[in-house]
Amino acid sequence: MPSIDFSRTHSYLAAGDGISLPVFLSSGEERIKLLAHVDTGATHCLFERRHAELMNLDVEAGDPMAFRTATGRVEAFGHLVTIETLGLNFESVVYFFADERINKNLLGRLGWLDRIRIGVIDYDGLLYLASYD
Amino acid sequence: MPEQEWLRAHGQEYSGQWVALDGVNLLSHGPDARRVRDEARSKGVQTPLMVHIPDEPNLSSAFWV
Repeated sequence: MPSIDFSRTHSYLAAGDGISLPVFLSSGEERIKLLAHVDTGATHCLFERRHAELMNLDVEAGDPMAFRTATGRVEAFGHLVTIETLGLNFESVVYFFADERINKNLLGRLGWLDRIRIGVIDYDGLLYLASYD
Repeated sequence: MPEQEWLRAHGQEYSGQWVALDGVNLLSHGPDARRVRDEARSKGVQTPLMVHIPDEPNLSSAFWV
């Protein structure tokens, strides 16, 4: 019988809407805390533009990329940041929406899911995490 | 997570605004994220949870984007 070990648990029942967890992003001296949703359908991690600005990042100076969404194309810019979830840290390129009206924060595959092991028991609202090793 | 419980109970009162939270304590709120963050810092919380409440926070999400 296969088994996976996890080192962290998080209850997301209180969120009421999807699987969300607290995320710290750091760039230079600035560190911010936000809530993001786990999105296994997202290729990359995507965050609101304002969070980049709170870290004093010049959003448009990042790596430009267009993303396909349910309602059309959106533009975003990639920046190298330190991302921390439930005490697990790594450096990743994450993307910030160009459009300040998009208020979504998503933990996607590249830069997050590909760095961890994850388990979900949705009935109990429990998320299990461990670093990939 | 206490912040998520606060958001579920009170989020709709601040629709369209940024809120800065420390546990169940609302430190600051308003339309300008930097001003909200800076006001929270002035109260001694260096890294508050920053959340932009949607205009219609009670709508379920069909897609994340």
